[in-house]
Amino acid sequence: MAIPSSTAALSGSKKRKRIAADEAARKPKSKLKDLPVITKAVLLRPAPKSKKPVEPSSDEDEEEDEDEDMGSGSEEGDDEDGLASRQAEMLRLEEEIVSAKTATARTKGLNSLLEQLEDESEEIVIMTAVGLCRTFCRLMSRGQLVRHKDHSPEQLKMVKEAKESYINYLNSLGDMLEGGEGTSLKLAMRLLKEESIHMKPSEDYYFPFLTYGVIIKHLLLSDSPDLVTVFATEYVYEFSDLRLEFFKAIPTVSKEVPLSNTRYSENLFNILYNLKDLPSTSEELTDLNLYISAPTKKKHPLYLIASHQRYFQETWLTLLSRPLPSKQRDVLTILPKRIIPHFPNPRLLMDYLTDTYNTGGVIALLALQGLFNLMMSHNLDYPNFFPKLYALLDRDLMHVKYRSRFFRLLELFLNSSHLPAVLVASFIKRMARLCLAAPPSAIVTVIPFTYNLMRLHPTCTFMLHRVLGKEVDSKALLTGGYADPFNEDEVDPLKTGALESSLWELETLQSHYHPNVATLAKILSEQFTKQQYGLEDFLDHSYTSMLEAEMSKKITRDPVVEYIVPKKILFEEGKKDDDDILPSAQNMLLELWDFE
Amino acid sequence: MPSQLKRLRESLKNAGVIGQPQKSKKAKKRARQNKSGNDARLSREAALESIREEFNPFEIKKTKEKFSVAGGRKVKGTVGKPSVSKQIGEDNRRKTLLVEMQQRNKVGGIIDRRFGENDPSMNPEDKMLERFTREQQKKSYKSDIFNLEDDDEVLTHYGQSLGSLPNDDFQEDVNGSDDDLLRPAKRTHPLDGELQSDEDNEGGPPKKKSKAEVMKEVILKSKYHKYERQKEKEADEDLRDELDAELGDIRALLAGIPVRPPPGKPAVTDSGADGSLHADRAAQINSGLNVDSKYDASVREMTYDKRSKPADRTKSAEELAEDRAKQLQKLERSRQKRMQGEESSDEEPEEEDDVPSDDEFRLGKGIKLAADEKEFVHGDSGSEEESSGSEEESDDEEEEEEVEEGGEIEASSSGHSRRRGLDNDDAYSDDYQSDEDPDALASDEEASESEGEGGEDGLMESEDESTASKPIDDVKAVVNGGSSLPFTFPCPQTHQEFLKVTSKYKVEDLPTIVKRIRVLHHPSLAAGNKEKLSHFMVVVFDHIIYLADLPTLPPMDVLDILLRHLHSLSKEFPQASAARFRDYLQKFFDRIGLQKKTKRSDLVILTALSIIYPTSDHFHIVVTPAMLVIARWLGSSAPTDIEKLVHGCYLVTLCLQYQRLSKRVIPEALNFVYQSLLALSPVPPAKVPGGFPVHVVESASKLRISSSSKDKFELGKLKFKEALYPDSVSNTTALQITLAYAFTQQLLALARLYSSKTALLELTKPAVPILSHYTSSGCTKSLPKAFTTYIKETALPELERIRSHSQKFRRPLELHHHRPLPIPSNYPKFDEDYSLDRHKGSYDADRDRKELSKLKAEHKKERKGAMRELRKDSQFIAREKLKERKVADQEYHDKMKKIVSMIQNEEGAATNAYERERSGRKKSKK
Repeated sequence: MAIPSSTAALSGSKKRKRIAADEAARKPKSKLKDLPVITKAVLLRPAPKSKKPVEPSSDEDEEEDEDEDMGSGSEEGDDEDGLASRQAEMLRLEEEIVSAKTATARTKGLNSLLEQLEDESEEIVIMTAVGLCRTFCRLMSRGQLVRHKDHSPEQLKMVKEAKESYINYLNSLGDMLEGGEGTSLKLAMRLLKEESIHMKPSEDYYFPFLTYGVIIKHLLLSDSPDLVTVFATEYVYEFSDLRLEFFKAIPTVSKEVPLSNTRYSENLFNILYNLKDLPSTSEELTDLNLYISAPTKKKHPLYLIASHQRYFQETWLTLLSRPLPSKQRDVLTILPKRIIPHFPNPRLLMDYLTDTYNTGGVIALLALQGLFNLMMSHNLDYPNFFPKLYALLDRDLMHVKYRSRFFRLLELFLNSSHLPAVLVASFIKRMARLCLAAPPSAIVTVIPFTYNLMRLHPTCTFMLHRVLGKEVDSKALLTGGYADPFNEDEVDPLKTGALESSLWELETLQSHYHPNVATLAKILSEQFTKQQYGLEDFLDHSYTSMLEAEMSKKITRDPVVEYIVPKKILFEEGKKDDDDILPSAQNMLLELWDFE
Repeated sequence: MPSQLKRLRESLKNAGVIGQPQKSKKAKKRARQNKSGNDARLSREAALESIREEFNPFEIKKTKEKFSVAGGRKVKGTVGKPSVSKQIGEDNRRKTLLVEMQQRNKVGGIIDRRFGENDPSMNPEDKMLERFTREQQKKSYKSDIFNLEDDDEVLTHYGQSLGSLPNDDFQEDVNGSDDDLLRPAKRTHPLDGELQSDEDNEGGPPKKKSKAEVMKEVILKSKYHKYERQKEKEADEDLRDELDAELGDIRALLAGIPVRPPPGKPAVTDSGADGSLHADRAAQINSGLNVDSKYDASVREMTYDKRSKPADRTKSAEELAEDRAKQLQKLERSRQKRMQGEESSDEEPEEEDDVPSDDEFRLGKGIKLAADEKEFVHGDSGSEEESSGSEEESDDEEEEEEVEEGGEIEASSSGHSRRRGLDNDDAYSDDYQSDEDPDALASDEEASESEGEGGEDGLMESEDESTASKPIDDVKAVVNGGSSLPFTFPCPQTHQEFLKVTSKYKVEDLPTIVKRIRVLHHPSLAAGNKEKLSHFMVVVFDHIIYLADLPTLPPMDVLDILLRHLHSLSKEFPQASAARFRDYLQKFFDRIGLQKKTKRSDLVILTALSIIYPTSDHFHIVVTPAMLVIARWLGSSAPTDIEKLVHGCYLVTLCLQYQRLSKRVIPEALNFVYQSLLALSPVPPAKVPGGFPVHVVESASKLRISSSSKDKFELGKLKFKEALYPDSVSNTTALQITLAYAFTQQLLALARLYSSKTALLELTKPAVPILSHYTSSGCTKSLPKAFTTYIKETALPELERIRSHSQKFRRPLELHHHRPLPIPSNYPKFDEDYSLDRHKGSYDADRDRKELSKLKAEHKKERKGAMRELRKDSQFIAREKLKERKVADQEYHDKMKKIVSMIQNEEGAATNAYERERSGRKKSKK
């Protein structure tokens, strides 16, 4: 908890002061000893675990000093003077409320405090919120928020009205949460804990899910991502019960928020996206870190992996059912590794994956992996899989970041020797086409891949070697050349006619500007002696890695320098006196550019 | 087969044991005389024994073969004599094991090694005789001259000679003289030793010498003797020479010719020497001066002198042209080889293609780029190399001069330079004949002499040129404002220094300054110049960058000359220059990665690279990274603004320039051209054709050519100044149209470049729709007429022509006309002399395995044998022990029996005595 740690952080003298101040504030003996310690300073100070950068100590000291002044009431400035008096006034009010004997008195006190929450001054609002929190905690601990059968009618009325104002208070806390107020989160979580202790309907384990739902809803609607991160890291990831209840609450809470609210979806996504190390077996659920006291029952849902996974699944499905265009890539990236394994029924993702796959482009590339998982392990039958896969080989494929990811999968898909050679040929041809506009790193992947496919489907080697027989009209061949039977625009890979075509593209790449690519391309015209190439060696190249490889070569001997120094470089050379033995290549530089 | 009995009889008869052999009496008598009776009996016994053995069925063990196998198979161990072998084993054990057993737990013992002591067959006399001879032999052996002492006789303790022990008691002092050494070591009393050592101090070391020391001494001695002999011989020879020398005098005396002054050595003197010299020599000889050494030294010096060689004939114009053509051809051939990269592996491409060219033409060394340098370094002789070197020299000069001439008229330059080259040649060869060059004389170091000459000479030459032989140029330079230009400059090592040096002068003077610096710090002038100049190369490099990045356009001719300076400096320092270029490329690459702006200097440096290095090479340590850098730029930069377009256009031009000879495919360049043309088109096309990536094009709508003017527009080249210095851009639209025009031209150039590629149709597929899009009505509205007509009438038809040509010659690929791979054949291998007796393992084809199985078999056999032996040993031991035990028991029993019987006897005697006594008493009682 933040309280002890923050007190510990205080320097010795301040600590003494603080304690004195506390004692001054807490005239009557309080049952909850640690409660009054919740001052603004404590609540605002970033807890050690929060992600906020720790501020330089000097600032913090100043802040503390201020707080101290506030608490002790020995201040000089007018403003602070006012604040201190308000504080003193509030403490008095609190005392009145707690010790009030009649409903009207109590309600009056509470209402006056609640009214203060509407104040413009932020400090006052926070102070009041803290005070109210304290008050309600004390009320709760005295059992004055729970109806009891031996309560008198007056008492019942008191309880009822106190409850009403409690709900009001919670709602205004929620509004503060939406505003991104850090203190309100602490207060809310504090109340949650107190509720779980003092407002139990029975002796059993009780989680105040209603309050939690309210907190979550408002929090997710807040426009401060920092607060959401704090909530996620300090509470949801930390405590297993909070996590489970979070999953439980999301489907109901989400119903209240319109689908069009992207802020809500994004906040929810951020929490879920960073959620890691989920338990995957029941054994991992034995020694849990709990926010509220542990349930006594052994079979409580908290200890069952099934319940965790069920609510996890529901939460994700809720999120996925909301439109989230900006985060779709991220969802799909973590889907196969971090989401599907925790789903008790991954088939529920089928619709989502199918829809995203059908959108095409990069998103489809990413959806492919998840889809593949479902097909492999969950018996998903996907009609027209290969045509759709073929459609993914579009003009951008070779240039996107996820290229290697896709090729890994593509290798997997085309690895079956039971596929028709026609289909494989279409893929090969399509990839070869794309290579003509691809960076060298992509070409380097395609060539060994093609080789492997040809080894697997020897029929496809006709694309590299085809001796025309008699059935071809030689006269037409002489006049018109060999027409490429490959139809680029055909969608069905079985009908493209690629098998009758030739891989001129890859042959052309044998004269690629990068010597290594050119050499690699030559493997296709050599004898196929190697069984297979390990595609993994060729997948993750880039311009950078290639340049690095070049640059790591040491200059061991004198590099060749052009022997003849031209008489003019940037201007037209005059009459040439050399015998033209060198092929007179045109100088494009001078043809296109005028350096005068 | 006769019966057993008959055979026995037969063999007995043959052995002469039974029957009456029909022998003559004489023979009988002789036999009787020969053998004593005992002998006859012995031989008879032996014969009988052998017959007995032969006929004893239990002596021989036979294993029945189940099936007899054809092929002369001989199975080991079918026949054996178990009892015999058992007996042998037993005997052996008795000899060894039993002895060991008996000697167990016993220490010491004396082994008698006296000759014949254990041989019972020798009579004592023989023994004695033999012992005596041995002793004598040993003595005579010891007296051998090199056998200083008998090793066997040295007493040792733990392998150390007792003499060498640091124990005073055993110290043996030996006299140092040779004779004494030969004497056997003798133990003396320590006191004696001291006395003796006092005597022998000067004679030799008091300690006994080891063998090595002795040998060393002997060797020294023999060497000394040899030296003495040689001396003697020399003296003899001198005497003889003297006699020979006097022969002339004698002859003269005989012939009556007057006597000349005494000549030194007539046989040695050369014919050209006259009498006075002779007199000198004689005097020298007489005065005892050693003239020989001087003479030798001068002869030695002369061997290092260059031999004069005939000057090259002045070549006619035709011959010169031919030479030049040949050289160019050679260059082209080596370039082709590098372009193919066929002989070159990835690691060391240049090494391999340089070597064969050397071999082929034998002039390869001259062609090497840094050959001038090499020539300076090695300075070695050899006519061929020399000639090529000088040729090289002239070429180099030519180049240098080309650089120097700068922006002058070229018409005269070629002839000019050729002439000068020739002049230079002459001068060069002249140098070796005339030794009047003061510099050459001044330099004493023999090895560097030729270098110094060559280098200095070349330099002098160039200086001459720059000052004297081209007065007009110089005047020009002076007129240009160089009057205040000093002739000497320090060699700047950093760019800052250079800027400081040049800040005083105009930009136009830069070429002169650079030239003068280069001339002044020519590597052959001082030791550190080479390094200095290589730093200066970097400075020039940096200055080019500096000039290019200036906000205003520098004079292009200055830049041009600087680039050429950089080129020739790179030729001189290829490694340093390559390193600098690579460094720059790496930085440029990183900048691309960080999406930083491209600078003008990047373009200029890449241009310089295209000129300095052979860009057609399959692999080149500088060009390959440069190509990657350009490709990355083109691949990762979308044409989003006009600046990118201009830079991209320039880089595509460079791509074309780089690949003008090797025609390699650069997908990125094509992509960029397509993307740019799409971005520039006044209206976006309905459908983006082709397979190039488009995701980058979409955003750039501001680039579209939007002029609605149909006015006259002059299509022209891109102006470097206007395009790359954005301040001077006056008309964006005009620039855009010019860019579009340039891209179209590039597209055509690329298509032409790749016209021989099989996938040309696929490569240029998007080009047709894009260009025809430009001719669509939507676009023509905002394009000048000249451009649209260019596309309509030149570009599109040309493209179509190239494409249809390619289509016409398109054939399916036939890449796999390989010889089919031979299937590995596994015929059975027949062995002519196969034998079943050989172990199967020995027919193993795998040699290693065969060896292994052999070893294994041997090991197994040995182990079995050893186990058997051990078992037998233990049996033997047990038997022996039992025997011993029995003997011991027997002894014990006997002893006990003896004792018992003794006691019994005594008892009996006592009883008897008692009985006797009693009976006696009884009797007495009675």
